[in-house]
Amino acid sequence: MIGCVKFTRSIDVVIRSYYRDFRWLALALRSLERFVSGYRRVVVVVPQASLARSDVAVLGSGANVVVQSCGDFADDYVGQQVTKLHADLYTDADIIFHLDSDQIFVAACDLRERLFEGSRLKMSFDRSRRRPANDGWRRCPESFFGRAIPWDLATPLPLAVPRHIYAALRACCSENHGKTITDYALTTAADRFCEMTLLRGYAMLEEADEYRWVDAEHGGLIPECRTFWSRSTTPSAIAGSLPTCLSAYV
Amino acid sequence: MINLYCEYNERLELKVTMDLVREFRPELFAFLRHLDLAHLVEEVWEPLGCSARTMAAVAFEERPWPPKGVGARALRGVAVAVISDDGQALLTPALLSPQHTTNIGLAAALTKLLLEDLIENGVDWAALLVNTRSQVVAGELRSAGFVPREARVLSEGAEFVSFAAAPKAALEQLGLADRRLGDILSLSLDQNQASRLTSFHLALAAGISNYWAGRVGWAEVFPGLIDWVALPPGGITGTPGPGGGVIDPVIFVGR
Repeated sequence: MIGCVKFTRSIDVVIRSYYRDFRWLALALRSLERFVSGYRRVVVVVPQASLARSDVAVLGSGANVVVQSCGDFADDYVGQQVTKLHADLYTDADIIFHLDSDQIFVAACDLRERLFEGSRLKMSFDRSRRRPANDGWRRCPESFFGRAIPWDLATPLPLAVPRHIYAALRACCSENHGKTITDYALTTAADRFCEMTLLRGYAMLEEADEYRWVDAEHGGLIPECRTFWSRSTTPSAIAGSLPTCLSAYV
Repeated sequence: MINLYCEYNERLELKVTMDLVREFRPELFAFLRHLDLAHLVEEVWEPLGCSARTMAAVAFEERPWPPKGVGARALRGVAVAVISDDGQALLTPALLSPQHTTNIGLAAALTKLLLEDLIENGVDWAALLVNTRSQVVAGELRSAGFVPREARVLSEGAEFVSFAAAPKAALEQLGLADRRLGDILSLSLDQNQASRLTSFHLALAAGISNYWAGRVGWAEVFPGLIDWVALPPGGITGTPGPGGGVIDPVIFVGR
């Protein structure tokens, strides 16, 4: 049976975006269409208010792209984290592959080949001390779960998560903290809350053997995916570092 | 058509606040300092915010990282309305950062946001105070559906009259009603409409500039920063007060 699981479980790419990143989003969608296989569809989620800033439906005109809206948050930095923690409500896929708008594929990539080792989903962590032990993001899962975690789980996206984890994590929050995970996020300082560490933390603490844990020191899970930083640069500025089929599109 | 401000405006956050000074105090000082108007915060907006209901459409830029803390936000535009209890709003033309003087997309977007929020808050009339000898601003306002009313402000020998319009009608006349905010910010409009918005907003900005410079007599627009609570009963349009008689309010503003 090993090797079958990765082909029977559906994978959706989920991108939580907002108005500021729409140019990046268009580029990311183009790169997915051009280079990536092994997924069922792309689900783009944007806050309601962002719909007034651009015709997002145009972005979703590709056959495999679905655009959905979510609620507005006064602080959308927290808002995008909250949306990601509810990603299972926007898709029924078995595996949810989180990608940011400023993450661009620059070479051919079969997600199934990259995300699985045998039947186990790969999950990244960082064994190094690059992020100090008292760092807020590093400590986030320990504070949340009340259990020690020796490794840094705040490694960057992309991240693939089985859908059952989201509901389990939300239930865990209600049980341990007496509040919804949205309220937990909203009442925790931005430098002490990191949604990815919670998703990875649940996997590590509750079902570690189900995953193949990959030390980020040996490189990212998806080398074909380049991460830019949308808050400090623009697609036009990085066009020269992209393959021609993408740079011509910028 | 790509313009000077397209890409920049995409990054701006826009919102309406009922508490401008409390929510944006440091940003407001920094923004107004570059316009030589920092005194407005403590001399006008702060006390006004305590006594009158105000609404402000603001546009701000966020620094790359971190998203919070001192210096995280920089205001780039503000449009203020002071609202009376009887459903009227006095507007002050949008103030923009010095480098955004011709950023009409931003000025128009602030106007749209503010007028839409006035409608949601049940405001029946939006008014600007215009010099009775104005042709440029008065002409622009008339073409946008504003009509002269009765309220007057007298200051420094100049007389300003209220020009009012229903916010919904003004939005429609300016072509802002059914347009996506993003299209307005990027001025992705036909040239006639872009020109219309340009003449409207540049006229208002130029019209009020003499007031900000202390030359009230030469100002075509008087800021709508009027403390309604201090007015006699009857409202600014001279509707009947408690005594039943029509009052034609005249406000004397010294310097």
